[in-house]
Parts: sequence; structure tokens; C-alpha cells
Amino acid sequence: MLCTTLRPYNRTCGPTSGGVARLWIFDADDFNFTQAAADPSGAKPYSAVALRPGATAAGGARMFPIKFEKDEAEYTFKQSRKGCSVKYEHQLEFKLADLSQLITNWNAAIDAAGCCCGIGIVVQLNSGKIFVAGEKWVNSAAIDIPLEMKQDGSSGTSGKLKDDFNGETVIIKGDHMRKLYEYSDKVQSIIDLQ
Amino acid sequence: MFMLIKIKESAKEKVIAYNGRALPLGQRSDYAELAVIALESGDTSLLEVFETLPTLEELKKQKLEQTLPDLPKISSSNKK
Repeated sequence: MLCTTLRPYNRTCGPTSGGVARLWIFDADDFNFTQAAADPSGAKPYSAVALRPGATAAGGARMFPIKFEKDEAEYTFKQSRKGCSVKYEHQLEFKLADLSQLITNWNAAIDAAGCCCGIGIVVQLNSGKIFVAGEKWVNSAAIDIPLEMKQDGSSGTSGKLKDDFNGETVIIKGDHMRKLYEYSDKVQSIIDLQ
Repeated sequence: MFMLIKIKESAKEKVIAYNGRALPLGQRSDYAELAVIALESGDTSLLEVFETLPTLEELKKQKLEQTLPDLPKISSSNKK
């Protein structure tokens, strides 16, 4: 208390689940997230999201769902520090089935986004919690230091046998100085933005 | 008497994801929820969709009164 303000982790006891339920990518410049002011308990989750001026659904400003292989998506992070400098390595890994022109074009778009502006990601865990990575605009202002998510380290295979996996293991990652913020609204509001 | 929440005509096509849906504002009626989000965040892109907007205290008081059950009135003739 005399040096810093610590907080309890007093989660209400109850079951939870592992795994990823849904995944979307978006152009981080298309969407503005809304966040209430922090209070003594800390930062608040995002409570709303809307298209920014100039971005239209008809023009391609959407939440793009990713149909990954069932039970083959995972969000991970790793925290590290050097002195007072803290880093969180965020990573999403998921499998896309069937090597094809479709997957080639999808990669071209993802790589361009990673190079030019970063990829926005919304991920719903099987616990029901929804997290946002790579957002750039909050409360109608640019985030001071945004998390830039990029495809890096993906791999693919045709497999050898008829029942081998044929497809791509996608890795999208980025470094930030904090963990991801939650989106507290129901998932239907994100689905409506598809 | 509470101040009414009114959305600007020019904002009725705006799509905002909140309170479980993302529909054009002209197709919604849950403006009180959006007003609370706008006031708690100070997000100008949300504040500017309102033509009239009560204070956060008024909105919370209004919500509380709507959730309180109607209690039966006690007749003065029942007093002993």
C-alpha cells in the first residue's frame, strides 16, 4: 500500500472451460471500441464497438469469421521482463483445412495487413469470455501504443496419407506491454458485425 | 420527471454493437443502455448520437425505479 496498490484475485468459485469457440479478424482501423473509465478495481472491459467514420460494411469493414478446425485453436501468452520493462507475447494458433487458392488468397490478405497496419482479432473462449487483440482505436482516440498482431511462423502440409491433416497451421502473434482486454457484451453483437 | 433520451435523425443509420446486438440505431429502443455506456466512457462518437441526454445519475435512478417492484399501497383506513 505504501509502495503500490495490489489487488486480490477473488474470482467467484465455479467451473470454466478451455479452448476457443469463435474467432474473427478485422481491420484495426475500421472499428472503435468503447471503454468506461478505470476505477479502483482497474481498467474496465470494452462495452461497445462501432465502425469508425468512413468505414462501411458495404465497403468491407466487417468482423470476418475464421472457420478453423474444431478444437484446433488456442490463444496463449507469455510474460517476461527485463528490469521494469514488461512484455507480453500474445499468440493465436489455429488450423485451417484444405490447401487451396482460397487459403492462398486469405494468406495474402493477412500478410498485407500484418505489414501495413496489424490485424485486429476478436476471440471467444469456450469459457464464454471474449477478448480483443490488435485494436487501435478506443473512445474515439488512437491507442498510445497499439498491439500489432501479425502472421509469423505459420506452416502447412498436404500430409502423406489419406487421413493425414491437409491444411495450414496459422500463427498470429504480437508483443504488448499488457494482457488483452475483454469485450463484455454478448457475442451476438459481434456476429451482427460480420 | 426524467429527461427523455433522444437520438439524432442523422444517427439513425449508425450501427453500434452494444447490449447484445449491432443494429442501426433507428431499429432499436434500448437507448438508455447506450447512454450509460456513452457517459461512463466519454466516447465522443457515442455522445454525439444523442440529441438530448440525461445525466448518468438520472439514468441510474431511472433504471433503479424501473427495476423496483410496485409495492401495494397501504390504505389509511386500515390503521389501528
